[in-house]
Amino acid sequence: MNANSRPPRRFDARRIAVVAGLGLFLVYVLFVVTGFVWVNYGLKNRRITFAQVALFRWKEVRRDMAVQQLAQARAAWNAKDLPAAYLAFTSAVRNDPNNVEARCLAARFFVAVGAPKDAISLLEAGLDLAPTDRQLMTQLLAILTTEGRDVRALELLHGRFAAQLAGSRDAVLPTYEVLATLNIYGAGAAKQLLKKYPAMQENAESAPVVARVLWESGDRLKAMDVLAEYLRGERSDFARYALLATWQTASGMASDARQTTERACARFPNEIPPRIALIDVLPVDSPEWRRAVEAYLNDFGNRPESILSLADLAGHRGWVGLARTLYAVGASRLANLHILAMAYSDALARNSQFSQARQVLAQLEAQTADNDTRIGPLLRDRQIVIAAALGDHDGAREFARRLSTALRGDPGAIELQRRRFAQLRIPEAVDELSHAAGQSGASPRQ
Amino acid sequence: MVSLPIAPVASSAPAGGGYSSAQIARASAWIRELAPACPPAVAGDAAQSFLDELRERSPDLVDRMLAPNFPMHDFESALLRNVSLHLTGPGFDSLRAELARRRAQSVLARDGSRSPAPPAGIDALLGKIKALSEARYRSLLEGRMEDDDLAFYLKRADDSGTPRPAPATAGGPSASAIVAEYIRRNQTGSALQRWHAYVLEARVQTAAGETQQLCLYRLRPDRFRLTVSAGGVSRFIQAGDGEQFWQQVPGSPIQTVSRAKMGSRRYLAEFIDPLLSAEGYAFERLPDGGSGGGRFFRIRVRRSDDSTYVARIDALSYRQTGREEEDGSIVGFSDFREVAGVTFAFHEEVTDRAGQKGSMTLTRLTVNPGLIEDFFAPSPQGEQAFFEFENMLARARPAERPPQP
Repeated sequence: MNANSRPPRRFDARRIAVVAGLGLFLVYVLFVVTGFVWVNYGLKNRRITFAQVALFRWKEVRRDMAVQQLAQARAAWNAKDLPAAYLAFTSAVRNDPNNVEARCLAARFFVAVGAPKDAISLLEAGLDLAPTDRQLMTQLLAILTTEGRDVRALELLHGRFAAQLAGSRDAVLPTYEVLATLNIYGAGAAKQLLKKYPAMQENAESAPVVARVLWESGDRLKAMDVLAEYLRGERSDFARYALLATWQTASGMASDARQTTERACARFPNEIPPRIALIDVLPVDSPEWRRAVEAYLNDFGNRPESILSLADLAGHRGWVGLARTLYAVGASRLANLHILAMAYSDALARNSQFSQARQVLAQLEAQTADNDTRIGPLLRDRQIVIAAALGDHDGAREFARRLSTALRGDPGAIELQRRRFAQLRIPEAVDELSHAAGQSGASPRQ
Repeated sequence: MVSLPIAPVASSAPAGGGYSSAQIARASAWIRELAPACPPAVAGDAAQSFLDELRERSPDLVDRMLAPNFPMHDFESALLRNVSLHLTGPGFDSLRAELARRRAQSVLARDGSRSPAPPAGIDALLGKIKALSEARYRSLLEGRMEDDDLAFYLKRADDSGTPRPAPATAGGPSASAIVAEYIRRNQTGSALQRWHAYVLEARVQTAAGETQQLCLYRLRPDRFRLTVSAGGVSRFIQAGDGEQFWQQVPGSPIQTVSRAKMGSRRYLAEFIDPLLSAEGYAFERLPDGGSGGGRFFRIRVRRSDDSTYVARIDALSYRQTGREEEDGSIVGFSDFREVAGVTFAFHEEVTDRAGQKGSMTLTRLTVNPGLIEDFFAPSPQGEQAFFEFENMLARARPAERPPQP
C-alpha cells in the first residue's frame, strides 16, 4: 500500500500522545525554570541547585534555604536589624523544623529581644517534633525558670519530661526541678528535694542552685563558699558574680564583695553589668565611687543603655540626686524617658518620699498609651507598691486591676506578678491578680 | 509651630516603640513588597513611623494589622509616604519618583469616583502637579504631602483645563473662622489633646554664623526647659517651672530670672502655637498680604499680657507660613510635617529688622517622651552635676560592643 495514498488521520492517537507529552514536558520545564529562578533570584537562595528543583527535592531545597536564612538571621542580629532577623529566624525554623540548633538560636534571639513567650512557644513546638531532645528541654527549662514561669517548668518536669527526669543520670533536669521548687515553694521544699538528688552536690553546674538553696535556708557562709568555688572555674555567667557580691555585701563582707566585682570586671571588660555591680558595692560618694562612676561613663557613655543601667542602680539604691541628674542627661540623648523617670521615682520611694514618687508616676501615666505593653506593666507595678505604701488600698486594687488588664492573655505573667505581690504583702493586688488568673485559666498555686 | 524667638527648627523621629517584633516585621515585609529597592535601614525607620501613624489613627489598627483580613490597600499610600519620608540621602531620586507614582495610583484607586488611571496618565498628572508647583511636587517626593492633599492636587491636575476660581479678598472669612479652619487643617481630629509633653531638638544657625544645638522640653500647661549646647557640651539651661523662670551656666549657681529679663523667651512657656490652642488669645484679621504669587491671611494674635504678633496663614493651604514680630523681625516657616496628628514647621528663617538672618532646623520631635515636673524646677543642688556628666559623656570613648552569638 502506498503511503501517499493513505487518508489523513486527524485524530491519530500516537500524535495526540506525543503532543500531550511534549506539552506536559514543556509545562514541567517551565515550572522547574520558574521555580529555580524564583528560589534563586526572588528568594535569593543561591545554594539551591537546578537539579534539586528539577527532581522535586523539596525537603532538601527547604533545608538549604533554612541554612541560608539562618546565616542571614545571624548577620541581621549582629547588625541590629531586628525585624530582618526576626523574619529570617522564623523562616529558617519553618523551612527546617527539625533543625534543633536553629530553633535554639531563634529562641535565644526571641529572649534577647524581649519576647520570651515566642521563645517558649518555639521550643515547645520543637519538643512536639523531638520529644526527648535534651537541648530543647534544657533551654526551655532555663527560659521558664529565668522568666518566673516556674509553675510551667514543674508541670513539664512532672508531666512531659517525667520519664527523662526519673531516668536522668546527670543532674541537669533535677537542677531545674530544685530551682523551680525553690522559686515557688521556698527553701524548705527545695532542701527536701535536694536530698533526693545527691548527684547535684557533686555536679559543678548545679552549684549556683545548691548555693541559693543554702542561702535561703539560712546557711549563708556555706552558700557563699559553694558559689565562690563555682566561680573559681572562670565562668562566663556574670549573674553569678553579681549574686555572690550581693550576698557578701548583705553579710557585711564589703571588701570580699569588692574583690568579686573587680574579678568580674576583669573577666568581662566590655560588659556594663559588672561595672554597675562595682559601683554598687563601693561606699557611695567616696572618692573611689566617684572614680568608678567617671570611668564607667568614660568607657560606656556612648552606649545608650549605660545611662539606663546606672539610673536603675540609682533608683534601686535610693540615690535621688544621681537619679535626677541621669534623667536630665538622658533627656537629651534618649527618645523615651519613661524608664529614667521610673528610676527616679524608685529612688524617691526608697527614701520614703512616696507622695512625690506617686506624682512622678501620675505624670508618666498621662504620657503612656493604654496599649503600651512595655511601659504599662512597669508603671502599674510601681503604682501598686506606692499606693500600698501610702495606705491607699482602693488605689492599689485599682492599679492591680489595670495591671491584670495589661497582662491579659499572658497567664504566666499574671501569676508571676501575683506571687511578687504576695511576697510584698499587698493583699489587694494579690486578690485582684488571683481573680484575673482564675479568669485566664492560670493556676493560682503559691 | 515652634515659635522660638531665636530661629528655625527641623524634623522628627518617631516617639517610643511598644510594637511587637511581629508588627515591625510585618510592616517591614510589606515595605519590601511594595518598594523592593528600599534599603533595609530605611525600611526599619519607615516601618516604625508607619506604625506610629497607624496607632495615631486608631490603636486598634496596629493590633489588627497581623490579621489576614487587614485592609492593607487602604494604608498603602500611608506606608509609601513614610518610606519616602525616610529616604533622605542622595541617590534616591528614581526610587522617590517611583514611590510617588505608586502613591498616586493608590490614592486614585481608593477614590471611587474615578476609574484608575493608566501609568502614562499617572505620569501626566504628576507632571502637571510639578508644572503647577515645583515645591509641591518636591513635598510629594519627600513624603511630606498627606493623602488628602495628594488627592486634591491630583484632582486639580486632572481638571487643569478649568479656570481657577478668583482668590478671596479681604471681607471673606472672619479671624475666628480662619483660626477655626487653621486648627482643623493642622490637626488630625483632636490629636493635640493627647499631647501632654514633647521634646524638640534642633540645629540653629545664628546670624553670626555660629551653629548650636538646641533641646526644648515642654510639659503642659506651662513648663519648659531649654538647653543650648555647642560641640556636644551644654552652654546654658533656661527654664520655667510654672511659677518662676531660672537659668544656669556651667560653673555658676542657679539664677532666678524676672519676666521682664526673659523678654520674648518667656513665651517658650506656651505649650503650643497660640493659633492651635486658641483659648486665652484674641485674634483680629488684618489686611491680607501676598508673596511669590500667593496670598496669605494676616491675623493679629494678642496675648493676655497685651503683647502681639501677626501670623501669616497661607490662604490656600492654611499653613502658618510666617510671623511678624513686635520687634520688626519676620519669621518664615517651611517644611511642614505632621507629627502625632499635628502639623509642625520643621524649618524657620528669621530676618531681623537689620536684615540679618538666622535659621533653625528641627532634627527630632518626640511626643509624650516621659517628662516630669521635677525636671523643670531648679534642682536643690543646682545643675552642676548635669554639666559635669555632660562633659564626661562628651569625652566618652567610642562604644565597643561584644558581638552577638
